[in-house]
Amino acid sequence: MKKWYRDYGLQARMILTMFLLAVLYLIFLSVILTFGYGWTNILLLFMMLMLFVQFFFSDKLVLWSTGGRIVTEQEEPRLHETVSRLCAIADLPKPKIAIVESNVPNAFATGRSKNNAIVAVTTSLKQKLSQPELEAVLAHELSHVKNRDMLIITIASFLSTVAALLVRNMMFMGMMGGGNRDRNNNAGAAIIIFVVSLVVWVISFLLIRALSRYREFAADRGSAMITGQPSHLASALMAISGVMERVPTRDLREMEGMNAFFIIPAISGDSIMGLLSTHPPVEARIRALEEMERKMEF
Amino acid sequence: MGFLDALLGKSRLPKPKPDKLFAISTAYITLNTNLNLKSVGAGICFKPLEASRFESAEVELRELLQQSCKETNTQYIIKKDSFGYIWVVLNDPEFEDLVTTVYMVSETLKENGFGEQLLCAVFKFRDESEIYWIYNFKQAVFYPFAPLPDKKRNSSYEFRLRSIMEKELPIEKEAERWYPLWDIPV
Repeated sequence: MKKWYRDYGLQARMILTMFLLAVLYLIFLSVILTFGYGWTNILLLFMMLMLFVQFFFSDKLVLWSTGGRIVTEQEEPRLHETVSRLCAIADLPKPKIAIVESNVPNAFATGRSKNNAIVAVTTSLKQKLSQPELEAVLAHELSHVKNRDMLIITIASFLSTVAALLVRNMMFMGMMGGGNRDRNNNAGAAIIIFVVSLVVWVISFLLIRALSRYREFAADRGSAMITGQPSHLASALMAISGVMERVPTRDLREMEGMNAFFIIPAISGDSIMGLLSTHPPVEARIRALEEMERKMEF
Repeated sequence: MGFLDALLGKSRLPKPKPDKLFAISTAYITLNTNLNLKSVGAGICFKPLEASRFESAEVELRELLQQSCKETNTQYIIKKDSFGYIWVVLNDPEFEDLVTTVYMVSETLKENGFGEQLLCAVFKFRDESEIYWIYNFKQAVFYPFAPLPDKKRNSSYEFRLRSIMEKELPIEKEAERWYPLWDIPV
């Protein structure tokens, strides 16, 4: 095992985040199961079903929402060969490849498993990056597939979404005067559920963002391992982020929903807070890659 | 690559398995007699790593190649393709020498800790057309590749090759993983 393969710090932070999320969710679940009544349980079941559907059809949903088009080997032989070579080295099944017409240089990976994965690049990414840079970005997306990030983030977000829905629903019902027949019996329980949901929502939101950022770092590391060239990903990140600042925002807004799966999120300008972002700042990612490059020397 | 590795985002690369390479030497007899295929060279391809240790491994590899190729009368060229991968292209009328030299290159890389960077080994054959047997180091399997002009493949011939050679060669079962390699410099 090579030294530069490991990053215990990153793994420790990932474990801690996932552990905290698990504890938080356990508390949330036990509160819901203890104080929950009729409709909270129905909501829970309904959410589970929705999530399953969304997860199962994630590849199609994402393609549909971004306007991506699957390209065949005949249409894009070079892109296909770049990916298939990386897959042979990383020993992954080759994902489908899609192209999104867009002047925002970006890439994303989606799909519920290794065998149903799609890796997509935008037309602008293909134009702006050199072959080694493009390869590094593709390797980053393949690492997301390999690390099953789609599955992990979906599971991690599930109860957070439930909590958010509960808060919104209860706020709405509260404003409407909450005209329930069994209102008196459940008033206390409702307040507990509301408060716990609100707290769980806020904390889990921050934890998920943190987890998502760690997974980005992990995918960057994966890319560097597959390509053997951390510097190419660094220069690709630099090139992409440079363009990102200059592109018109109208285009960016259309993509916002998919941010968690893009290589660089399509929100321009300085993010409000590092804490709220799904992706680490580019400078931090480049620093991590340079660190890896230094470790490779020993 | 277990689930725990995925959970922790430890995307380590699988180790190469070069030992099944020798299956092609015995298979060559069948390829030659039954299919009338003649060996016309071989090659091994790997992805360079940006580290000074890799460069010194490459120097060592060149020295080893020079020595062993002198002994076996094998001709070799080292090339970089348009994807940035390095190819060691070998030519020798003795098929056995091709296989051992390919194995030696893979072992040298492995010993220096760069075995993960191995992409494939290719063995080129010819009858009326050209065909390749490509060895995948990570899966330790071969697959046939029969390129035609305009980046097309002679798939029916590839499937025929599989059915004939199935007993003698470990062949990749999923045809989806028979990745084409265009413009192989061998």
